[in-house]
Amino acid sequence: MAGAHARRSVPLVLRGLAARPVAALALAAVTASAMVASVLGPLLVRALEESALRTAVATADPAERTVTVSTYVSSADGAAGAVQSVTSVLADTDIASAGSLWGPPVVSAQSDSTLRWRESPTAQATSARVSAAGSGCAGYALAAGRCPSAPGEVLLSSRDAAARGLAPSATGGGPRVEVVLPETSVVRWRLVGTYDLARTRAELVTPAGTATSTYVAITGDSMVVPDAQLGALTVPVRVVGTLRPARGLGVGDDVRVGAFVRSLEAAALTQPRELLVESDLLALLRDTTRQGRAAGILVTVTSVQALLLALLASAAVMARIGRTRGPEWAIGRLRGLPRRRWLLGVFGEPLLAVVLGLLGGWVLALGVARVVVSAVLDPAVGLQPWRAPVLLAAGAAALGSVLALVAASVPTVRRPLAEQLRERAEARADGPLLVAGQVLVVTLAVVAAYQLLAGGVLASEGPQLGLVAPALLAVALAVVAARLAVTLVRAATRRPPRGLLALVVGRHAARAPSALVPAVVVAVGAALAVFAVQVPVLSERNQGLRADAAVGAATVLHVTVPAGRSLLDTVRAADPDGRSAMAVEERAASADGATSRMVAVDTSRLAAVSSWRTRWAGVTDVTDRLGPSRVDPVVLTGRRLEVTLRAPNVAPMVVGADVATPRPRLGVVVESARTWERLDLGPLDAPGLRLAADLPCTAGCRLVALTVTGDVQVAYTAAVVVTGAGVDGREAPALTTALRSGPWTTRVGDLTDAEPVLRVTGEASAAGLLLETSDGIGDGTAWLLGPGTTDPLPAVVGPRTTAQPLAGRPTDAFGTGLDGQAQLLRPVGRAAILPRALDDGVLVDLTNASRLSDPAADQAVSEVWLAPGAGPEVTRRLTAAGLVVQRRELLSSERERLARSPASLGADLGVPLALVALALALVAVVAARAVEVPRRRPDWTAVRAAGVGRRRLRRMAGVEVATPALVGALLGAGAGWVSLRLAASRLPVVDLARPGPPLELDQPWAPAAAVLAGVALVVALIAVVGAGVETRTGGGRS
Amino acid sequence: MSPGHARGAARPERPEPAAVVGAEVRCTGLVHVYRVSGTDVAALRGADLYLAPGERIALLGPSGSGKSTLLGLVAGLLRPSAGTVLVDDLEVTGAGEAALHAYRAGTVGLMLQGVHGNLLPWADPVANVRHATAGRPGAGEEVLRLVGLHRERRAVERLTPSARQAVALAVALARRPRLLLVDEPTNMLTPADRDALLDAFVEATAGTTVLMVTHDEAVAARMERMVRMRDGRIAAEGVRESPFAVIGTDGSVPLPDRVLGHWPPGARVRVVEEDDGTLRLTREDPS
Repeated sequence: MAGAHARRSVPLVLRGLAARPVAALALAAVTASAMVASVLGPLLVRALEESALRTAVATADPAERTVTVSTYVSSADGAAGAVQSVTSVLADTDIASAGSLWGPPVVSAQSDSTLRWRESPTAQATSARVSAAGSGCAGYALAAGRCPSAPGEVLLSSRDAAARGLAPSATGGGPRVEVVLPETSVVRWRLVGTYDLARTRAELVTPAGTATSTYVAITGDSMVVPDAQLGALTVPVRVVGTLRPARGLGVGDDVRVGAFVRSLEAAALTQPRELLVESDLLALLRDTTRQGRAAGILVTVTSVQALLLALLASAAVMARIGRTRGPEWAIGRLRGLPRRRWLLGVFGEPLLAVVLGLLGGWVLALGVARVVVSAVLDPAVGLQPWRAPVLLAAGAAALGSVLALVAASVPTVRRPLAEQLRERAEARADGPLLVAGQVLVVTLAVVAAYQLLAGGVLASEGPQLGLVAPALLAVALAVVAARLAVTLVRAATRRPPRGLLALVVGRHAARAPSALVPAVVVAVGAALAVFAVQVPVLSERNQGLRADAAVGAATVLHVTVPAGRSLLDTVRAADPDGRSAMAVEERAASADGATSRMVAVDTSRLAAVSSWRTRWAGVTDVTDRLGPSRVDPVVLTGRRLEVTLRAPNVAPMVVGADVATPRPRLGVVVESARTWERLDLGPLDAPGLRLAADLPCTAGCRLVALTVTGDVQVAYTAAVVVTGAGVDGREAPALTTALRSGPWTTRVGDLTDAEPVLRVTGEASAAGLLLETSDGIGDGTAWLLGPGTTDPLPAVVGPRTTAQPLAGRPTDAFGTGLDGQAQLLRPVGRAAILPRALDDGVLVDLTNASRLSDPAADQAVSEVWLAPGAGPEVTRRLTAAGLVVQRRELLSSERERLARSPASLGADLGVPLALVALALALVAVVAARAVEVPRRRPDWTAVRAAGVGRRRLRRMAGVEVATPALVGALLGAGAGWVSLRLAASRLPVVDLARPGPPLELDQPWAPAAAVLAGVALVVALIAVVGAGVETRTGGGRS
Repeated sequence: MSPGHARGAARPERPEPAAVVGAEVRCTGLVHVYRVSGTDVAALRGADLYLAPGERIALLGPSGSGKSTLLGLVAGLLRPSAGTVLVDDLEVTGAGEAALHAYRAGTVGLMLQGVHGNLLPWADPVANVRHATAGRPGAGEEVLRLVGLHRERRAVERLTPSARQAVALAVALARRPRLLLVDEPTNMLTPADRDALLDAFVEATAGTTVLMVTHDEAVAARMERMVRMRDGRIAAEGVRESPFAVIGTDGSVPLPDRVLGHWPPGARVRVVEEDDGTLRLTREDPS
């Protein structure tokens, strides 16, 4: 009795829920999926941004993680004041107000340039900066000895000291190091201690191998001297106050850092000294935040589509429940129950299921997000479930689910009571609202496709229908297909059926077209999944290409070349086959941006060694176009060069009594021991018309150019024929041939005026080289380049390289050579991307560039690029040849870095989201069918009673479930494929704001096929199991 | 004993409910046309019917004769193409939704064919009755007690057909309706179950106006009047052996079935009223 009473006290809604758990479970599952799909997006986007920031800050160079206040001083007096100014600014700025953002500031003073030191006059010099010891070497980790306190004492890093066999002596008598000051004077410091570089504050010293803007290689760690000692050196000193974050930075900290930097700048303005506030950290944060947001678009878009899918699925399941329970809902009206009670009867049970689903979905979403974040991003990144976007998304899921519930129930509820009471076939014609909805979806799909075809940037701002193209196209296709299928089936049912399957299954589709709605849901799920699984593949491929272009080769060694050695020759000797190593010189862009970066490569090995693709060059035969001259340079070997002249004709450019007689002098430039030497041969009108100069070429040297130099302020014109040449009294056949056949080229250099005052031309003939020159001012040196040089220098320019035009030379552009001197360039093509220089720079042939620049003034960084298969033998040969590897860049590291970039992670995160959506679609199929079972079961029972075997019955039921779902999956996969094809070029699969090679967007078929196969397998499983359950005899509830 | 009784033991005894006063029903010239596959079908072609308060009428007739349509019109489930249904002072055929809601809540009780139109199949009998009375105890539980189902805890979809019909009857009577409309209450029942149900029915519907649609003469015999329908009209009234023909509002008199074969459609008939009030029909064919 008590049990009966307890049972009576249970609300009818709960009893209904307990009595028909399948429908409630189905609805709860679909609603939970909606919550997961909705909440997962903002959770993952935030985690992505946090992860990107953590990774960026963690992997950035230490200098990029700082905010600095700095100033330059040139003497000790200034240094003291500078330290005070910097300290004052840092003290004035309320660091405490920035919360726990900053750690304690560190003020350091270091020489801005390097000084060379060596432990003995015969040893190789080391280039290093000099740091101030400060007060008692605070911040330095002393490894041995003591802090330098008196003039002439120095502290070295323990590794530098150990590498050179130096042991400090704190008491005196320790080893001395010889330091070369800029004026080439030498001082000797006594080593009193060593410091441990790893434990010393990074702000205080500059380690060996640090890249500098001047590209002067730093080969030793900083020398540490007393403050006064640093001030006494006649080198510029940079005083820097450095702040580092005291904690891990998160999204939004860019705003806080920005505000702090502004306050620092304001404080710096109050100082009499010019102080520079710099924050690479701020730039890093802003750039990473931008990347994170761009990458978040993919996740957001997938999430939005997944939510729409979830709501569609909820509505489909609810509509199915409504159709099944129509008579039950009608009873309330039939009995004239109060409206509230009737509404409770209709919506109470589904609402309860929805609420349970939402709560379960929230928990599930957090779990899924945790797993995804740990697997794809960073396990240390925390979820932030209580942020407004997450709560808004949860609210949207809840509201959407309830609205879907109501909207799906309304058609049943609004039916006339008499119809509602009868179980009958669905209306043959859709209601006007449904038709309008279908037309709207198809229209939107067309608009979305047009948006994608018409171009435009996909962004998070503005109504971008193209972003949801996969879902829209899938829905449109599936809706059209469903209508077509119903029409065909209905037409077919007017004719005698061909078989029992067609009769039973076809008639059901004709009478209950809503059974096809789950197929629409599957189509959307499949579209999303096919779209999403291909994006990471595209992203990975294109990130790989970016890495290929950015690094240039599988391995890039930054090397120093022994004095007098040619990098090009050394590398060629180490790898004679030319398939493993390539010499490269890279000159940085000028600080003011006026001159682009120059990358000079050994073009004969470019294709074999470099990871940069020659197809990006913009020209088909890049190697031939850039390659060195086919004429060999003239090599002179000997001690004395003699030339013979004929018919010199020198005249002043202006006539007058007080005009001095011009006596221009002929010279020759040769490259010897990796330096250019200008030799004066003598005046053009020398007696006997024979000129001579000593040659430093016993080992052979290359003739670079003939020069003509005028007297100061004496304008002139001159012409002379160089008829012959000899070395050490013997004819120099190579030079003599060159005088007769050339080619000789005018070096324009910086003579870029439309009417240059200094001109020179050279014309080779059988009589010799006719050299004509004029100088409108005097004192200029005109260069006539010898054979083997190519001037203007052929270059492939980058897509954003500004080719500065030259008047009268439409095919040439002004530029700078490897030695920093003016150099005329001849662009032969505009590349989509250049190796290492990317979008702004020039790519030239190293041989060509080397012949046009003085190696001794070379401003380029020397590199050796190694092909993927290059074995250690090549590296060993290089080091044996004297190359010292300073730094090593690996393509694999860059690829890994890019794989952890926001764009890649964003692409990856779309996959779990889309798979959740697909799983949701399949859950919807199961749920809709489970709800349908009680209505369909009597039909199967009747067919079974007619004598149809159980196996055949199961097959019919299976076909009825599987066919629409499979067709939906196929259509969805097609929609996903087409959408990606249309949208791929504008999706942020890479950081589109940064230069990179052209996107390669050939879609991989394997992931899409895998998705389709997976869907087919699951659908088959659902069909088999479901058919077995629903064709089983006996009652059942939903 | 039902839980309701157990709970009420400690409360003051409820007064006996007042006797039900049946509603008066007047159907006049009812025409109902509906559309099937693009064709208009007349289910009622001018049906007239009067039920006095507390009267119990059985509506008989072949399938398609319009019985259920007439029931649906009286219940307010359908709107007629023409004609009126007046229940007491309410014109059901022209009433708005609110008036119909009140009509269903307070005047009429319905027992339709099958389980799904009457009952929550997953709920037990008492829950079904309580659902109909919005949770309040009512006459339905007394009917359940009459048929011995007041302690039944199984869902009605698991009960026997006769038990389901009994529950449906209890639900229809739960609010003590003044007019009970019943469609085929004994369908699919064994004679024994049928009789048991009818016994309970008669007892429970004392004072209530009842309109029952049935095919079963034996069931109809338990009602006070038997009205037969044919082709959408009231054809006759009374027992099968000597039924009355019923004059329609348009003055038409349907011929009894037994003579219908001799009077083919289109035959010309002379009608003469005798002095004693007898109507004489004489067939006068042109030949």
